[in-house]
Amino acid sequence: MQLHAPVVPTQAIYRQMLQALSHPGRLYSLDLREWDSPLLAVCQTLFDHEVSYCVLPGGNNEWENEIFAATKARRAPLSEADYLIVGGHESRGKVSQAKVGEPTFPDQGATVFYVMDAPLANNSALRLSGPGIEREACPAVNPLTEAEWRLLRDLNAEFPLGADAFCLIGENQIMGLPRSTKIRIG
Amino acid sequence: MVKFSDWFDSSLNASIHAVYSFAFIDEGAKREIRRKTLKAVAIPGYQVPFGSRDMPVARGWGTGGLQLTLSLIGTDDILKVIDQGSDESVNAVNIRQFVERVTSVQTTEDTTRATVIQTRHRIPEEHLKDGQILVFQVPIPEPLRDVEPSERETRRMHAEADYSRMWLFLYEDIVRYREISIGARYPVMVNGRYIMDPSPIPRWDVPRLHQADTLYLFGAGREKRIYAIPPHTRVEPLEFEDHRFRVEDFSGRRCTRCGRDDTYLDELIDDASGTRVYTCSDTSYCAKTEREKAV
Repeated sequence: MQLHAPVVPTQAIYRQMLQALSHPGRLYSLDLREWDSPLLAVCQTLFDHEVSYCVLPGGNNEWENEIFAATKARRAPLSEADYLIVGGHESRGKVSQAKVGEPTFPDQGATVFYVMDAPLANNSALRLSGPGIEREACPAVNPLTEAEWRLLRDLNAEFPLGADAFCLIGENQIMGLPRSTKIRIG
Repeated sequence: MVKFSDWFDSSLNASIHAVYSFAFIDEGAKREIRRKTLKAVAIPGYQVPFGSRDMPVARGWGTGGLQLTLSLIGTDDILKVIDQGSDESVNAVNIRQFVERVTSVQTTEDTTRATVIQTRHRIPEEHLKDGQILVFQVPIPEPLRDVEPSERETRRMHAEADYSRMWLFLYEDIVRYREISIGARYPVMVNGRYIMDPSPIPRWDVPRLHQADTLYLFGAGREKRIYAIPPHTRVEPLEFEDHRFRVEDFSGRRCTRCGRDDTYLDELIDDASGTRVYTCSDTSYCAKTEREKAV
């Protein structure tokens, strides 16, 4: 007799998120059988009443309510939220106000989800290096504007303080950008 | 999801069959472990506190590694569990059987087939590939504990990268013994930022943490800490220019079973005769070598 319940589909989402964060700049596909959007999939994988989130202006107006209904996570101001949700390729400077943690608890820095329909044109001047990347590499696709790359670079300049990011691209793709990744532009 | 009514099967001989969550721990606990593990990967070598849950094995018997494994594992995974390199020792067998029972995943002794490997105190000899995950059971996650008993103070030392007392500890060791005498739990510097305890792996395994293809996750259940080394991360054992780190020396010795002379060896002493023999610590790799020789 089987003593356990069936696996919950968030397990497969988490494994792809873990691989994406372990290999910054690579693209991974999420198995979205249970969800209409990659955003709700990653939110249900990580969010519950213990964490807070903030949907930045410019995102889909319904995201805030949909996420609350699906996870019961708390809404919080930008500078206090554990998770930030940005619609599109840039936050227009807003992500610079994200939590970056304390020197003794840098893990309290925020995680940012950039949600977009498609990547931008490749930026050949962009190079990523650091843990998870063998020597130096271009990201598989370019999900962010140059201003946003610069913003993330500056936000994470005082490593280990900083914020980590995931780019949710199109129907089901994900790219991880941990704070440990060094961003070189030009 | 399972309904409460499914938890009891009173229609079958009035026997009661508990139905566990997939992988035993509840989804809320998994979510917390997953959130903390992602932060651990983003800050290599930093110890992330987590709410370690009670498990059906005592703390200190691999509960940190077990919670990581249970938060990771899915039905497509193939699990391998080793204890000091052996698939057959009590700790490995119990943990493997437990995870099998609460997930129905496939298990293996073949390192190359496994997608998730839980280990106590060894890294398998065979090369670990991109996509595999090695989960370490960690008894003492704090590498500075030998020089500073206060958790608050060690946290400050990590925050300020104030590792002078650790370097002094190593220097005093050299003054006393003419070399650094630490065997297992040899401290390493991760990504040039955090000193990390690699768990009680032998020195032999330490160089294999550096620029690996695979993801290493460390779980300390009793001490409630998770930390990680992502693939392709700089991991350097602490050493001085004139006292370099070195691994155990097995020159002139080979495994009595398979004949290999390039693996980490266990020393066995025959009580009656006093003779010493050596066998591979990694039992599945040893058996694989024996099979290949027999063909």
